[in-house]
Amino acid sequence: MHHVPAALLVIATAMLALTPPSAPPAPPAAPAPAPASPADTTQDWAPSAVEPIKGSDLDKALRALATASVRYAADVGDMVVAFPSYAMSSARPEGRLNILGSDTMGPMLSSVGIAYQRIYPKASISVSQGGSAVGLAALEAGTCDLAAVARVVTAEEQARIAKATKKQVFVVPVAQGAACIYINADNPFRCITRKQCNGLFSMTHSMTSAPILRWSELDPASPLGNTLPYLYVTSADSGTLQVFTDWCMPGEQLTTIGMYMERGPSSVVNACCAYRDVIGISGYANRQPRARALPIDMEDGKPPVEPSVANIRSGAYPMSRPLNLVFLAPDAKQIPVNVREFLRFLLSEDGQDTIAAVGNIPAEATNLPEFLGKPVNGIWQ
Amino acid sequence: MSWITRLRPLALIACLAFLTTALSVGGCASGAPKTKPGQGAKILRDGRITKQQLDELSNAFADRYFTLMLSASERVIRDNKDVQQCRIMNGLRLLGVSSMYDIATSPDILTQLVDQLVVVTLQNYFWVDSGRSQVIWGERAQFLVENLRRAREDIWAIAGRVFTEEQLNELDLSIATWWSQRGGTEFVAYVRFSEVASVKGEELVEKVRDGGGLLEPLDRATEQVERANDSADRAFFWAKRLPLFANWQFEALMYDIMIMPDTQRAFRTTDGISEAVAQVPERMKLVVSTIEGAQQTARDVVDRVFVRALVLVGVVLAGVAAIIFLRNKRQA
Repeated sequence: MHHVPAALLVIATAMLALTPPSAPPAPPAAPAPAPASPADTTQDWAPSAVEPIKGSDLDKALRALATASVRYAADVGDMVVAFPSYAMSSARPEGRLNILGSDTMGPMLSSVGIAYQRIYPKASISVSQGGSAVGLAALEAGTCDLAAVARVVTAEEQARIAKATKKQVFVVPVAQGAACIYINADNPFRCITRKQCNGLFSMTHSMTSAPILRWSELDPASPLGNTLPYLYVTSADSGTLQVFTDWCMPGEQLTTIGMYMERGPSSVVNACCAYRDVIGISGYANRQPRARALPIDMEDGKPPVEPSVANIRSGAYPMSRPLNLVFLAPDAKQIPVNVREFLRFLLSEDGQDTIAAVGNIPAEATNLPEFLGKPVNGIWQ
Repeated sequence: MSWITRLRPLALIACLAFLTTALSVGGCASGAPKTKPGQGAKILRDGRITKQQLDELSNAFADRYFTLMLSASERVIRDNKDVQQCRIMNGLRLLGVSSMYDIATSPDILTQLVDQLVVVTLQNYFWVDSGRSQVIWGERAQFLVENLRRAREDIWAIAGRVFTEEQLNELDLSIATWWSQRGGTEFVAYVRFSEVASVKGEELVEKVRDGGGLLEPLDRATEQVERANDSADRAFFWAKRLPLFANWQFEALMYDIMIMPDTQRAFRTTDGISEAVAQVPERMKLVVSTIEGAQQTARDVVDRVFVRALVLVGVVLAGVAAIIFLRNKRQA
């Protein structure tokens, strides 16, 4: 008789284990939205704005995403092959070359540096980023060998550095780029004008009577309505930001309304990819499938100018810019071997191919600097 | 499905048993608290954060990441009839969150931070920037991409408390360069800083370890001993979250089974039977009407045959009558 309760307990436990749960476990509560982030636009957007791709088409679409950069490299292939080939130098450069400056040029120079070090194992290319202005300041202070500057280096800047260092300043365009205005790929806003940029980004908005604080002021039909356009830029030392401010708000200060200062250009574009109510300023090379670079309406009655390879190279896109490497030397005949060879490699078919592979636009092959010498039979020697 | 629903409580009971064991083991191993009360909140005079604070931030981030992924994945999976979409989402959260806890329970706190930084940043490149999420989940992906971005903002904010501005730029460049050369890498949750960083990146971490950043210098002599002491705490941290992973792992198994060709065929067959059952009343009506039609046709045929037979019999009778009449007339 004493075993009966124990047996009942065993049976009850077994039944409990074998009985399906009466109700599914409640999911944990959703987290509160992060206060530092822009508003959650998920609810505001028209439902089913983006349709998923199904079946075998999904595999094709995913493969197409993976090969987008390969397609781009093929598109600019003709520009790359116009450069001379690179033959290994008998000078055998070695030692460390410090490059500091543009965030936009950082990944590009690092990639070229890796390829260069494969040829010259005793040479070391050390790339650091922090902004074009930081690079120029370091060059002037003598703390780097090459400054990466993603904008035009003005004659005043060159004169100032030359005076301070008592050396000649050499500016070498190694690629081409542009400052672009990015929005989310789902945002139907078509193009932007210089005035609108001034109204959005300038504290004093000299070109508009009032600051632009709503998407509906940019586009009355915008599904974002009265939402504030959140603005994402890189640091004040950035060459990209300077090109943008020189174009649409020269001499004016940036607004602080809805403004986010990001660590680097890729983070700016990432914000545009994730949030639908964001406008970001970043480099052409940082473009991504989920962020759309806006065409510029020049208000001249012509179609808006797309930030395309052709328009950037021709200068038709208003924020086109050269991507420069700047260095100092007593004169053109006394350029250090490791600097000269690295620049030759950069301006070779191999170097430009690497530049194109990371999304940049090759430089002009017809505009090779004389101080690097003349290629013989299409080969740097 | 009944065996599956019956297995779930058993799995939970097993997990609870493991948890109880882990609790007791963790309690024994850790013994008395290693830090004095209030030490966790200590802020160094020069604004640096302590090792313990960083440890807490790293663990808190792992939990925050879990919450972000859970809420985003719920949005994708809830009421979603597409098994493939649910399967990919479950795989993403399972790999992402388990990787994050794996990092958070690793012995070196500085490596934890840079590993979390690498994984979250790469996940943003892969799942947010590329448009892959929208291709797979369409509109349902929006909450996921926003949450992944928030995770990126959070982890870089934590890194901003440990590394200087220059060091952060260095880390950003290392990750961006690695990605620009290996953009197609799919399993980004398992990429670690040691793989991404160049020699320069490794030097940077060592420099911070020695006090060259915003983290208090780590005493290398006692570090190994402390790591050993912390391992029980970390095991406990992991064990507390184990039931969740067991559940997701189970779901992953279910999705894997459901996506198999044989299962799909079975589903299609089941669907066919269901459709057939649903069509039975209609088909019955059709059969009845067909039978009725056949009967009517038969009746019509019979009627027509009967009439023709009647006419034939009439004609025959008339012929016979005529013959008899003519024979009688001839005899007369």
